[in-house]
Amino acid sequence: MTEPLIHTSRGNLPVSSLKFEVKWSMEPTHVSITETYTADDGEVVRQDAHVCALAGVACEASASDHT
Amino acid sequence: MAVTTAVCSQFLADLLGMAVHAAGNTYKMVLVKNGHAGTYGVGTISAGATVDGTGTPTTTLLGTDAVAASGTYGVTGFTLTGFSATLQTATGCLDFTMAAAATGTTISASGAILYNATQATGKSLACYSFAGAPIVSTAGNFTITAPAVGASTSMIRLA
Repeated sequence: MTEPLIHTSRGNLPVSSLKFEVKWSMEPTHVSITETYTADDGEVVRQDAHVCALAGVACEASASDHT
Repeated sequence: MAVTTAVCSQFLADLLGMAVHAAGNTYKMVLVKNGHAGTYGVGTISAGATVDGTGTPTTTLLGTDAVAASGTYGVTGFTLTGFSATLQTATGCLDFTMAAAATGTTISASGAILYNATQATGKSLACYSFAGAPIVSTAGNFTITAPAVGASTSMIRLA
């Protein structure tokens, strides 16, 4: 069976040759997720970044009561 | 300098003008690079007549603060589709469908600006800060997923 490869800054490398880490960061308005592939020498050769917005932005119109 | 999550005041004025924005326009989400020189938020007026990564950043020009093209990400940003203006209970909501992931990117971003690319000056609608920034990709995918449509979640909400 062919070993799976992944595209990196050093070209296509076997996935099994890389250290893989997933990091989550929870913020009030979004969650960010980074998937990091690190080579044996410590260089990050690939990092995928995902920003999942939980909420956009609100704006309140001015209002007043006139009686 | 900072990116602050806010609806741009100019957008509110444009809404009252009833002449600037239309559903059929092209809307984009352009990334603001980490280490940017300008300040982005409620006072941001536009991304600029040409979003090409050149020019001194101001309230009317993103200029050199734009994340450079990388992989399938273009300097003008992600193109949004699915324009949707709805009323959620008593809140007016504007939402879009985000573009698919940009691939093969090396990006470091600290925020984003939603702007109207059809308008000659690239009128901005809102700015979004990536708290905990920068968001960094290296030879990989960069994805932004839009929030769910709702009175407390939509991309832009006016109550």
